[in-house]
Amino acid sequence: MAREFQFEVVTPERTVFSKAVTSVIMPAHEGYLGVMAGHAPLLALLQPGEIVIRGADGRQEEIAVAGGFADVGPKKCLILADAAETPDQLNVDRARKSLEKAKKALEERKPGHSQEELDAAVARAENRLRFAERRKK
Amino acid sequence: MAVGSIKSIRTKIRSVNNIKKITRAMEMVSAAKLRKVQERLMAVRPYASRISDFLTGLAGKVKNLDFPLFKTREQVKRIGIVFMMGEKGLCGSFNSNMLRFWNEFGKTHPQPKDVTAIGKKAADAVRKMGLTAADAYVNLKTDVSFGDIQSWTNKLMASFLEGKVDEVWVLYTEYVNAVTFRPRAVKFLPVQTEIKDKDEGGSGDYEFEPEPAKILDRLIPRYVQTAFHRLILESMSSEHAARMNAMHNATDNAKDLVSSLTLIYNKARQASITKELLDIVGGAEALKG
Repeated sequence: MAREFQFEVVTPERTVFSKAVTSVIMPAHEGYLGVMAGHAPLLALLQPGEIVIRGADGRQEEIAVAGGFADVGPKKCLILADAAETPDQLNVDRARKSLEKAKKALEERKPGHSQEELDAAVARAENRLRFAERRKK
Repeated sequence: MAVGSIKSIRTKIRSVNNIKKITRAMEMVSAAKLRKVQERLMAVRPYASRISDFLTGLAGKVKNLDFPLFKTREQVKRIGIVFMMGEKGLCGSFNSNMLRFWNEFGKTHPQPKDVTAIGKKAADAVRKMGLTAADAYVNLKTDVSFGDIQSWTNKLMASFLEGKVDEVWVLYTEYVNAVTFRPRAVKFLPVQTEIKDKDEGGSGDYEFEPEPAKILDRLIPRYVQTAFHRLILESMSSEHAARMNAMHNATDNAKDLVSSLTLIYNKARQASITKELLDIVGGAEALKG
């Protein structure tokens, strides 16, 4: 059996996930990054995407993440996410609505937000919708 | 005592009892809100403490720290102020203390100010002083979203970076415990950290993806937003706790008032009965004679 390590996902609003797991795949800045126990210390930027977690019992869990930071150590891995949702917290309709809102804000160039921020908001919303739709099937 | 005054005492007792019910209900509501805000404060804590660990660890890695958000400006010509007060009144001296604190702060910091008001009372106070708030955020709910707070913080950071203001201060009420709150001013920008090129920090053999400076670019704004989030939650906690105490005291006072009114009422009732008895006895005596 693969060795376990502690994995946590925290957002400014709550702790989304905190359990011992055997492997984690996360959307790092330069592509997906797999982490197992004993990984070399690493600080990484995350982009919007999904985290795939495997536990010791072989069960797989997924979390949609809107970007953030990862602190990987040999015994512990911590993700500081801007926002993160498990499949049961996501709803396709809501995700679609928030995507529409983000797109509209981009078209109208909502004042007070930079182009980058608006682009990032659309990317986050798209990611969330993709995730929600896939889970529904 | 006349019958009329007995009646008026009875009405008074009834109305004080009603007030008591209302203040007790408000106390309960504030207690529930306080608990909610406290839970959120607890939920922020792990994120906030980790992100500042990150920051200290990373900042040691970057050779010459050259981030505008950290830079202290030599001349402070204009300051930005975030003024946090409550949403509503009826919370003891919470709002008036803050107002007094504002005046004292103005004495030590005479520079012209850009004010951002948070809370309805703050917006009202700023208007009454004849100032115009650059921004006012009112009707804050206990579950004010981090997204909102992020966009407020971004505006503050933007006005600092564009040079509109040279410092940003936050005036808020610190929550010490359920009965003690203190108005406080903190220098919010430039970021105050004790990152003094210490390279030990345990992050000696870390790898980075991408390079530390790029991570810092994203991390610093997030750090500032988190700090701001905490201050808002703390101010909210203080408001709800202050209202809870004020309403608790009001309920107690109402109780005292009811018991002293009841005493007067009983005395008056007894007096009128005695008087009636005397009348009857007197009348009977007169008939006999």
